[in-house]
Amino acid sequence: MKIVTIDPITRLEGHGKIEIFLNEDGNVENAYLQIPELRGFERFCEGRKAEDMPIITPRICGVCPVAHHLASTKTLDAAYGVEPTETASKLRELMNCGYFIYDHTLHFYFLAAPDFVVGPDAPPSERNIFGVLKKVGLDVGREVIKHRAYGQRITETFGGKATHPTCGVPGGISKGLNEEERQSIEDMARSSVEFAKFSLGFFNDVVLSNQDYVDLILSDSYQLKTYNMGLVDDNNHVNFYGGDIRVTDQQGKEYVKFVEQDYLDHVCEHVEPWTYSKFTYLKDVGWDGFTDGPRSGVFRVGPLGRLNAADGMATPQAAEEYKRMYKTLGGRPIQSTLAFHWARLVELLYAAERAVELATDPGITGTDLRNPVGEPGEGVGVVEAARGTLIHHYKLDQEGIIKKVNLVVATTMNYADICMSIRDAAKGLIKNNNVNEGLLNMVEMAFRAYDPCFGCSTHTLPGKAPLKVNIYDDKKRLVETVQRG
Amino acid sequence: MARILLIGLAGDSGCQVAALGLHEALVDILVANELIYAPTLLDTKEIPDDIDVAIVEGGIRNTHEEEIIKEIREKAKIVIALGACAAFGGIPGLANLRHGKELMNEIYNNHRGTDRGTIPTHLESLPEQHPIKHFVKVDYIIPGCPPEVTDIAYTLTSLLSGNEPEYNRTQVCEDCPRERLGEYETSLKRIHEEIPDPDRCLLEQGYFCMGPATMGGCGAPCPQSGNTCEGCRGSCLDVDDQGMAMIDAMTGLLTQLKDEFDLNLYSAMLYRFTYAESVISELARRKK
Repeated sequence: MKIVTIDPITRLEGHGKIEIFLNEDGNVENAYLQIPELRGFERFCEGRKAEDMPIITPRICGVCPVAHHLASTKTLDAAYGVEPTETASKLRELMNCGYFIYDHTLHFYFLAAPDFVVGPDAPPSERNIFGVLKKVGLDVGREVIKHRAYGQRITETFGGKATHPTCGVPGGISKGLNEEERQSIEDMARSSVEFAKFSLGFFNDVVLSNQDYVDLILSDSYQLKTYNMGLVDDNNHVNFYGGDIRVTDQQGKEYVKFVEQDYLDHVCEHVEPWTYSKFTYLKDVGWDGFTDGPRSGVFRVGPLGRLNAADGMATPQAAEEYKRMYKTLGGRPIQSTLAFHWARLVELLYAAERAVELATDPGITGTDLRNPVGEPGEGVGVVEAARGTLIHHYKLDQEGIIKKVNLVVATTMNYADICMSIRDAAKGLIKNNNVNEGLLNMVEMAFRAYDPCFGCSTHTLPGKAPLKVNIYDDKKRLVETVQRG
Repeated sequence: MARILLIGLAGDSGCQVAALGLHEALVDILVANELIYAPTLLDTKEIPDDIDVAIVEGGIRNTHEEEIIKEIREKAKIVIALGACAAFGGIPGLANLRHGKELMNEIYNNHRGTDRGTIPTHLESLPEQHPIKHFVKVDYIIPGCPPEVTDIAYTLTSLLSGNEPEYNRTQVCEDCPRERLGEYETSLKRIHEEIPDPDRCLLEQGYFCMGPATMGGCGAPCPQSGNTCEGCRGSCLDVDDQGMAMIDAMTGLLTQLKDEFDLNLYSAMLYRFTYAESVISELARRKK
């Protein structure tokens, strides 16, 4: 048995390590992605004042703080039995749109594009955002930087801070919009629509016009036939802020649709001894190990999961792009992991279009910001984070102090899928002991597509963290070390 | 051309996201210098030698991070703690209020919605979350959760041009436009119970606002968006313990208080970001 280690995995938010196990013939037996650290938020949140939760929980993840802030605030709405005001709901949704704009932009251009623009097996020293800028030119670079900043500014306008906003309170929001701020948000959102369309065109030119990349997207190494999950509105269109949770099956048909309060009837978490992250699965289907297909309860969330779990997009231009994507890749559902990148850009367009709709809504500058709260109790709140469905669930005592917390985060829901995608990519790409840096990066591309945030994780074993490939014999003696990078 | 390292340890990558918020200023810094190691952005896998400036986000939660921070310190001329986790422990430091083993059992074996029977075993966590200064000498901190992009730009441009960056000498209250009258309510209020007066000092109205015990320079965005200061920038310059400074700042309010002040309940608010470096956590550590 030989073990190939990729440590640290790069171009993602957070840390992790991949171990690939090769058999006697040098072919892949299995591969694991380890999340090596527990931070214990669920536990130390107990005993806190309930209104502190929207402040504490965003620190679980600095790349999806807005989603945590909103899920937490919605959970408090439910726990205090209060509906947020109409204006507050719109503002919160607008804030989530701003966050999707900046986060999807960050992932596509900074983390993912190097693999396509510079090339999956380009020299590692060039395979990064600077290499991308060299290829596409500084003018495109400025547009990317500008629109990422727009997304942040939209969030910041009433959130206080772009990364860790503080405006959410049960029953509403602590700050509204004035006309000047509204106008500025409208301008930024309109510009973001054009930027999203540019990005889809860019994807078309760079990725879809290159037959090698299309073959890669469609190759067996990157396919996974799982269930899909996401929030949908009354028309079964993708929604980032509210609605029902819909699950579709391997044929794209609705498997189940449920309201957020019922999530424990449908979603369960499995524990493995070798990692601190749990694995989420559909309760009725059951945990069947790291397998796909209808008998395995594993499902996908995030851009591709959401689009697969819905029947379309609620804004006109994104709806067209949705149709084009499914037409090009052979209908719904799409099983190719690398199609996450395309789905992410369709969502970028939706987030920008929806931000324009909300910014031009006559009610958005309303002053009905908060409704009075009721008695404290138990509540569940769900939103879409950029990387998938996010569930918060708190139980409060009569003083409004937190007694129990359960958090089911997007990357946990995708974790089993990510492990399988890495294993399958490794199996498809590494043959007869033929391992090189480019191939290992293509294994990394299998997790990168999901945009995971291992915010709760860091490196694991004592010792240095170089990128080395350690090759062991069957007695686990080190035979050879290949240096990477 | 300086060689820069950017790494995230036990944190949430939020500081790196904030650093990217430097936008065009960041491009100038990166074009004029050389980013040599940054797992979030680059595929370089080994920590290089001869680092001029190491920017470290996140604290220390396992033995591997401890080794990494020591290796970085050996190889770097200047080590900067970026953000609350690296500088003071941050919100993850609140986990130090709980015992490690108890935490594991509760989360993996006694948790609604999670299958019972398995607890991850072979990975090495430390019992507590630490700021990096518990292991190595830190040259500068950039406070905040996340840090202000202007602070990041100022600290980096000062250092890269050979100047010593200066810390802010104010408190958040000095950035806050809310009016102070020197009169206090007689009860502590909670933000969801009432809508605070938008123009008046939140602490004077009885809301638990950390402004007076928190280093200024952020522009007080939280009180201006209608909520209290969280205290994310840690204590003011030359103050050792943020929570004690806050108690001191609250004397006016506390002496008038009709209700009891439950220290247990408020400890996680007095030390939201600084529990891991606090005097009381140091005492608790000695006891263990």
